[in-house]
Parts: sequence; C-alpha cells; structure tokens
Amino acid sequence: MAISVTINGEQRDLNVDPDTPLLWVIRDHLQLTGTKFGCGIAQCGACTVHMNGTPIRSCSMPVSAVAGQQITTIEAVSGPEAEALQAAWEELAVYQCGYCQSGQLMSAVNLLKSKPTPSDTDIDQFMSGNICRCATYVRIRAGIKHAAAQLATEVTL
Amino acid sequence: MQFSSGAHAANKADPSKGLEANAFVNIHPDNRVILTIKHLEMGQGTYTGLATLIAEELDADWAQIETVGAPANPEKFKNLLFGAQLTGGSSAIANSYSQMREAGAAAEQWQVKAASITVKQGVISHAASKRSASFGDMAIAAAKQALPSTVSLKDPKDFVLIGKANLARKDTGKTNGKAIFTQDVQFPNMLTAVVAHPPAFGASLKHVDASKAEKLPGVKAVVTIPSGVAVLADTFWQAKKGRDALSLEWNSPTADISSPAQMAEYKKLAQTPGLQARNDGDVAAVLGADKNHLIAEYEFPYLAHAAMEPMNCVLQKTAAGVEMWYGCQGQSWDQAAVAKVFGLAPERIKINTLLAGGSFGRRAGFTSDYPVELANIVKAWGKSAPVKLVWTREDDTQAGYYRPAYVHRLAASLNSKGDITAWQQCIVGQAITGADAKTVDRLSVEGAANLPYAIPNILVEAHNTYNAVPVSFWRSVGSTHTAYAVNLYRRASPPRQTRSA
Repeated sequence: MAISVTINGEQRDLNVDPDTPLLWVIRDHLQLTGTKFGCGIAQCGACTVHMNGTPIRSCSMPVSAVAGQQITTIEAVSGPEAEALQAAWEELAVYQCGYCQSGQLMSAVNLLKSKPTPSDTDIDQFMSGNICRCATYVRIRAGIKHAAAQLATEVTL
Repeated sequence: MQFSSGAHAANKADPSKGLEANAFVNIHPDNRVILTIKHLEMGQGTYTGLATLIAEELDADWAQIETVGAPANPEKFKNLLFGAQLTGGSSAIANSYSQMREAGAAAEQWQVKAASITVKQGVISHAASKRSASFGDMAIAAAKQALPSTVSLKDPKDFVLIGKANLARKDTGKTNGKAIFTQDVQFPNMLTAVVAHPPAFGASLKHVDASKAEKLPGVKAVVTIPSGVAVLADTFWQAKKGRDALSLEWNSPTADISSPAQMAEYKKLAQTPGLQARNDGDVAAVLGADKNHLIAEYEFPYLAHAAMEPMNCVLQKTAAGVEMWYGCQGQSWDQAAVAKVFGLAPERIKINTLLAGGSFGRRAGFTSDYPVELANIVKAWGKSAPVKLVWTREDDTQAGYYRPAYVHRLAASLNSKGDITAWQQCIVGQAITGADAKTVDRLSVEGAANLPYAIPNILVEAHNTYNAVPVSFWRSVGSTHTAYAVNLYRRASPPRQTRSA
C-alpha cells in the first residue's frame, strides 16, 4: 500500500505495510539512522521526531497515522533553538554514549520553543520521557540552560 | 626521558598518502591527523582520552585530530594489562598511558629531527630561518624517512593537554545523527535477523512451524540455531512480524528456579563455612567472645545492563573469511568465538569496531553470546549477504548475562574504643569466571577480600552457586555489591571513631 509522508521537507511515497512504525520507515526505508531504536514501546524517547513541530515517539506511531503530515528528524532539525542546543551539547560535552541524544535534542528543541527560559522543574518535567542510561541528566539540564541563555543574548542584541 | 619506540610499525608502501607513523598515528597530506583508538568508545570518553595522550606528545593542534575505532588485531591493539584486545576494568587510560604518548612522540620525531626545530599546536617552526610548516606539509616527506629508534617524552610540567580541561570530544556526530552505531549500519542487500529465544533459561526448542512466517512479505528465511529460531527479512519490522508469526513449542528447563527459593538457599549457605578468600588473625575467637555482635544479611538481585542500544551485530561471509561491524568490546574473545563457529582461524574474522550505545560490561563476555548467535544464523542460512542481528528491548532484558544475584552475611565486633576488632563477610552467588566449587571467584569477592581497613581479624568467605541464569561483568563488577554491603553494614553498626560529630 502506498503511503505518502513528508520527511525533512521531502514528500516520500512509500510502499510499506501501514502498521509499520514510523521509526522503521525512517531507518530502514529512508536510511535516516540518526533517529534511534531503544525500546519500541514509547518508554525511552530515543526515537523522538517532530510531527508538525511537536515531538512524537516514532517507534509507536504507525506510518499510516502520519500520512500527509510534516515529519522532521535530527538530520534536518533547524532553527535558532536547534542550533543553540547542538552547540551547547558540544561545548559542555553533554553526551556520553550519545545513543539517546538525538531524542533528547528533539525534545529540548520543543521545550525551548514553548518555554524560552525553562526552570529546572520545567526541564525535568518536559524531558522526563527521554531516558539516558549514562545518566547525563545534569549536563542535559545545563545544556538546555546554556542554549536558553545564548538565545536570550541573541534576542537582546 | 628516552624510551624505545615499541609502537612503530613498518611504513606503508605509498608515501603519497602521508605518514603512517605507527599503528595509532596517521598523518595525512591534507593535515588531518587520524588516530586509531584501541579501546571501545561506549560513552566513557576513550576516543577523547587516548587522543589526548597522543596529541600531547605529537604537539598536534586539537582541532586537526580525528579518531577511528581499532579493528580486531590483538597483536597491535591488545590491552597491555590483560594481554588481549579488550576494553574493561577501567583500564583504558592506565594501560595506554605510556604506549599512546610514545606513539605520539615517535610520530613527531619522525617528522622533525633537528634540535633547532620546535613544534606547537600542529605547526613545525624553525626560528633561525623563520620558516614553518604544518604536519600535512611534512607528511609525504616524513613517510620516506627512516623510523626513529628512540623517542623522548615530555616532562609532565610541559603538558598542554594532559590533565587540562578539554571538553571538545573526539567521538563526534552525536548531536546531528551522523555518528554510526551498530544499529545504523546499512548495506544495500542487507537482511535483518530477529530471533525467538526460549522463554526460560535452560529451556530448548521442541518444535517450530515457520510456514506462516515464511509467507509474509519481506521474509527471506527462517533458520534454527542453538539459541532459538531466527527470522531473516528485508527490514526489521518484517523480521519482527515474521517472528511473531512463528508457531513455537519449547522443552521446559531441566531445573526449576525462583528468586525466593534461590535467596532462601543462599542465606542457608551463607551460614556455613565457604571458600576462604582472606583469613587474617582469628575471627571466630573474637566474634565468639562478643555476644553483642551484629549479624546482617543483604540480598542483591540479578541486574540487567540495559544499554540504550539493545544488543546487535552485523556479519557477512566474505571470500577471505568473515567481516563484522559492531560495538565490539572484546575483540580477542569474539574473534576466537566466531572463528570457532565457522571453523576458521581467528585472524580471518575481520572486526570493524563501531561506537556502542552504552555497554556497562554487556558487550564483553566470556561466551561472546550475541556475535556467536549471529555467526550461527549466517552459518545456518549459508548465503553471503550481510545480516544485521537486532535484539528488541525485551530480548535484551530477557537474555541474561546479568550481574549475579548475591547474599552477603556480615558480622563484626567492636572493642571498648569503638575500633573494629573482627570482621566476617560471607558472599554467596554465581561465579562470573565460571570457577568450580573449590575455587574462589576473584570477581565475587573483589572489594571484600581486599577490604582496605586496618582490622586485625578478617575472614572473607565465598560460596559459588550454579544454575542456568547466564551471568557476566556489570560495571565495576564485584565492587557493585561488595562495597555496597560493606558500607551498609558500617552504617548499621557504625564503629564509634567513624561517626561524625
């Protein structure tokens, strides 16, 4: 069955089973491997992508349910929030193994868009669906705050 | 300081490609310095740490350094503490410290011979003539020179990288989706394998009916292997649906075990004399004379590693033997184990070491369980397309190789000043090393047998137990339970001199 999905701005017509999770369409059919498989049941957040700008767990979203929607993955996420976060992640060496970090960043982008100066509680609540087995949570929080501060400076200038 | 340069190897035949100074340092004419890192990067920062050691002595600019994981080659890349190519025991920096510095120093001195030349941040300068060159400028000329026979290492007071905060990590691509983990390996004709494992440890396959699975779209083969039944398909989702469509019957495990029964058995054993790991003085006499000594028991459950990236591996049969791609933590062990499956010599198993999405000890194991599982799949299938074995989260959690379950029983006696005069600890659990019933498992008693406190009478004993649950290294191994039990006990019965005011 052909399903049409717009991924990273490009319309893709896919001949896949409609119950195939979006994650595996992204990874196996489109060879975009930045979005990770961690649990398959929306419990770890490693597979987080944006649907029309909102974070979703792609492992538990059948591709048929996102037909016609705009999907963005880590490979194409852009804008001031994404750039500030990616820079902060490198500057503060936020990641360790890095396997969860695509998902962490995709969630963090949305957090900063909805709340430009989040508190620790805001961060903990918003990011609670993204697990990091290396436990880099303290640096994730610092990275988000660093990016927020950078964005605030840019706005002021 | 002068050292013989043990790290260098013969230069490669084609100098136009730059200076392959030794197994670890490759200087390209385009000024990139590519370092081969012999330890698995699983998040602990070994690409950054080992690169720091080399870059320090090479006097390279940090920005020109790139890293790549070392392939399986125990002769070149063995862990100098273990004698095998293996990452573990928190030993990556310790065993590499001099070796990597010597490799960096050798590469620098190969390029730069005259004493009047200085090197700083990747720039080679001759002050008298005010000339300078980059590493890349010198790479081709250096490749035609003879190897330096000895190298000098820096005085630590001159370090500019070692011991300094250097936050620019060398395991890059982790913020833009470009880093390649095992899960991300793609080949045009690659199949994905998903395996149905027995539902209990010690159970075995009785019967499989694969007729429904074989008819599903994308499913290419169903093969029976020692660890279960594998479904090979074009994509993961097709392979998983194939596995779900298998009709399976399993033989029950030969021995029935449960956690409560196991803990009860362990607690009984903990009250009996075990294998002596340490026996200083006369614990029995001191404890026997102290009617008030506190006895405490601690139970530790099995623990799964739960790395973010569930276990996986890619393998292809080639004309030369076998080629593999994965976050390999024990190249020496895996090479030997996979070679055995195929009846090949270990050096014919080529392993490309990729980044690992965590490990916590899981990717190193005496049985090389998941690489061997994939080897068995490919052997049973018999074809030469690459196959990626993917475990689901459930597979990963249920597969075992846990930190063993343990019971610790502790007793101690204090004198009137509050000093500990006698200390007894008995540890009951499975031996990761597979030690027999007469041999102390050094990993079970690690952190207990070497208790650092000055206590005149110490008795540490252990009982090895045996069952079908597979156990293996988990993070700091023995100390994850021994240090915990020791410190819980100290808090339960604190010697007076250790109490805070």
